[in-house]
Amino acid sequence: MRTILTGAFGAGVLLLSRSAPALAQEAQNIRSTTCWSCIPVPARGVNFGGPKIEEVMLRNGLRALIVRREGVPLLRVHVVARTNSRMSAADEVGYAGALATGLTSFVLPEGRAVSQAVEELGIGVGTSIDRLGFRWYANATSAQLTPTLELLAEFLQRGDVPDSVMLAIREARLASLDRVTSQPNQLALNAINHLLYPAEHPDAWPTTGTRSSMATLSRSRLTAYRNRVMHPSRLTVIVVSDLPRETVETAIERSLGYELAAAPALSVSHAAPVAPPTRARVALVARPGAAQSLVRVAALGPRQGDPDWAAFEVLNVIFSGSSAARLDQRLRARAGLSYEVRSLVQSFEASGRLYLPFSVETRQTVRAVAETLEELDAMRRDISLEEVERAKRTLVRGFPDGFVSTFGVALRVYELVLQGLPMNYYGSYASSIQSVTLADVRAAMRKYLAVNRVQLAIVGDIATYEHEIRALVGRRGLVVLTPDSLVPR
Amino acid sequence: MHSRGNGRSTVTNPIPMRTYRLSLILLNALALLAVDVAATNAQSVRFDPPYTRFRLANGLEVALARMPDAPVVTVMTLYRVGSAHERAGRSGFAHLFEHLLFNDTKHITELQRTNLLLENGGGANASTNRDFTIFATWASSNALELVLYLDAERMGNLLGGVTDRALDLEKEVVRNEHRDRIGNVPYVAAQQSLYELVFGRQHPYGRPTLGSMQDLSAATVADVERFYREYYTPTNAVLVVAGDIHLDSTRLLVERWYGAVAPGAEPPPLAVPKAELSGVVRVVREEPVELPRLYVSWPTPPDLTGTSITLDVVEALLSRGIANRLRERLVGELRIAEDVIVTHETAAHGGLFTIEVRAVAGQSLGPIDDEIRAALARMVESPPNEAELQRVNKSLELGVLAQTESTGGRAGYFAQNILLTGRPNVFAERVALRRALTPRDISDAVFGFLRPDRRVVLSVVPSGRSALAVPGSSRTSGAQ
Repeated sequence: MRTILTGAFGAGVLLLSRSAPALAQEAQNIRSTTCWSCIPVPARGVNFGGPKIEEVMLRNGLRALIVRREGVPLLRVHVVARTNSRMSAADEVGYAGALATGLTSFVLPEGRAVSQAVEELGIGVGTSIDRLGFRWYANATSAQLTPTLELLAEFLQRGDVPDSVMLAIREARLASLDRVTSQPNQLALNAINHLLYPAEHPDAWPTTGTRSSMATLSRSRLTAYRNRVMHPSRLTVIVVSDLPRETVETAIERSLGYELAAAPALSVSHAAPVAPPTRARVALVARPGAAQSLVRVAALGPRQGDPDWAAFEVLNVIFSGSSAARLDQRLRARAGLSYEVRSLVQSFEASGRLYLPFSVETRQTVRAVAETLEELDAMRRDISLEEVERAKRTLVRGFPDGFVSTFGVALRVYELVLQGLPMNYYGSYASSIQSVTLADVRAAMRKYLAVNRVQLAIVGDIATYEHEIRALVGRRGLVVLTPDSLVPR
Repeated sequence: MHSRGNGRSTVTNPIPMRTYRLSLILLNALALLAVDVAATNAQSVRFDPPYTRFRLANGLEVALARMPDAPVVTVMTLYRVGSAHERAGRSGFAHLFEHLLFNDTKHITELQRTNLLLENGGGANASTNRDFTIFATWASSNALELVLYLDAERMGNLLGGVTDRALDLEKEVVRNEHRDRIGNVPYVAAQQSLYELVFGRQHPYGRPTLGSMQDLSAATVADVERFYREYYTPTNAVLVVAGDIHLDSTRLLVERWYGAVAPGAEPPPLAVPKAELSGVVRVVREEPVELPRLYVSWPTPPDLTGTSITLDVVEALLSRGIANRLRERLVGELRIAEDVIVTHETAAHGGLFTIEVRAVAGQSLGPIDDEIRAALARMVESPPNEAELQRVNKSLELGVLAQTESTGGRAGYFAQNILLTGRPNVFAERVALRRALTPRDISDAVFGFLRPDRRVVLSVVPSGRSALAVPGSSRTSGAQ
């Protein structure tokens, strides 16, 4: 007896049945006629241009981006503060992270913590910090739009940070900086930044702050910083929900359209361009006895929005940005050298980069590094049209997957704000990728991923392979760094 | 865990695709799909996601969920086999086997499969836990049949693709995963040891899912073939397809590909002794870390029982906002800790409730243990009020609504519920159970299950600083 249960809209079940012999016969028929060698060929790809983003500017300068996503009564609100070098002074490195950490510890005028108000509303809130800014986000049902925005407005206008909270934030930040030397992942990241960027360049500002910037963190300084970067005229509010635009717009204007003094001036200039390295270098950081080496490979690239960006993305997919990529196949699929070899492309204030983290057993470190460099050399010599077309299909057809939830949509819009990209960026994403040619990718390879542009950092038991790495990259290509030197000061 | 997919990322500090996917899949989901937006009153929450359900002649249970919001589809197959089902001397085998299911099969190579998925905007991922192994494959919705074919092919035609060389290669990858996840991350090995300390070595949950390197080396192709025949059968699996699909045509495709897989025998039964602590087990581990940490753990009843759900609420009360009494005390007032993390990991044959305190540098863990006991005693004597309970319930429901919004999240939610209860949607009854809880229920659950006299107390301290451990701790486990 076969049972078919249909639970559409929870309205009970429908039972259908066929006799057991009939079912067995049917199954046998299927098995005998199935052609396992006949791989189904998908129909033509689907078109997807991202969500419609509606932009509203309030009189106080606040920018609101509204997206309607019907079907699910969920609300995502992101408040985005950009904290690049125009907003932050060099001695305020890490303030954005401290502010993000402390956001829910801020206290409202009647003495309630923001976290208490949030709990009473029954909504979820959080913060996240990126190199270019941070976001305060709320997750609620659409019915909670107004109370969520009102809480936000109250916090933005009148929130304060008590001394005790300030002290706790500062102590925690300093303590986490003290722990950098025992955290191999953090050491590897700091080492690669050391190779790629000039000292104290904004593209390498650690979100954790530095010892000196955290030592000077005080309530008054953090409050001044907050007033500067979180002034409404410098904020963007993103609202994604199933509600009509008019409803959202009205609620935003009512809650966040308050009058405020002019925004504090910005006195810091843009980050200077980063000159690309002229030789491949490897930084070694000792972690005696480590069973595994952490390897980081990075190369500077274009910023997102730059004409080269699409070719850079395609190049990444071919090199190590997917599980069929050349380096993944070489190191993992064919040799089992690493659990995961997957690069990503990133975009910061003055430059972009390709960043590849992987780890490898200590005794295989030299082989993995040599094979990485060999693969880069092989790509310099040849990238095929087939590879380029396949990578383009990967990017274009995988694009909709980022928009399958309210959260995903809000995150994608956040990325636009953070990167300063136009709101129609996603609408033209597929065509920008499709227009990439083999010549574009080869040019991007020469320009950004030539072996002499690539920098590597290795954290591990370096005594066992230092001389071999030196033989690989030459004496001038080797830099030995101590863990202490990688603690941001 | 294994992933073969698209690593596209165009953002700063992005969440890698693998992590994103798994976070959706592995959330031990409660779910909420429909909310009465006319009211914020928690009583009005409903959950009525549309789905179709049927069973193939070979025993495969299937649920289809139409989600037309974006042109993507996720095919999720869950097998009722995890590390709990491993034989002695083969710890970690279920996870190794999960990796092997991404290798060549009879009719298609690994690279072919990966390329086909990538070219159609997709990818694949999998994870193994104590009770089950779950495979997610996704792509743009026009490639639905391809995704079904690829998944059915490995269900029906794995053998022939797994060779000694392929097995050895995958063992090496898993060893690297072991080093990645445990060797390179402070405290993880200690956390993993909690299961052994709480459940004991004889319990199926007492061994780590990643297994031991030694057992991994011992695995053979014969083990692979036996495991596949015993557990990777349609009879022992649940399939959920969620996304921009047409239900009728998808059902035909499921019948075409999965119906072609021969049914298997019932898998061997699993003997599960009751997990019970008879006293307090105090253990210390010295590790190359900077800060001491304290883990206090208790065994809890199986997932989806009333008590398990009550303890989920206790977890939320201890973890969140104004109810976070312990954090306020340890971090805010006493300043002896940086953070407090409360978790309740639930599974089919029992759960693990853990309070983890990340102490400040040089802090002795004994006073922290005292504070934990005092906090739980206060919770017994003076449990949270009704309003506090309802707020926690509301935020739990809201969280689940968000988590099941994606095709992967929805498919994972349905699949796990079918496995544990036989029904895709148990949201309403869970909500009802939680909403019916009274402060007295919370008090009783804490009193009955988070007992001061039956627990595991694990101190993790910097090398050479065992004096920081809770007094009475030994370097090996054993009731004291």
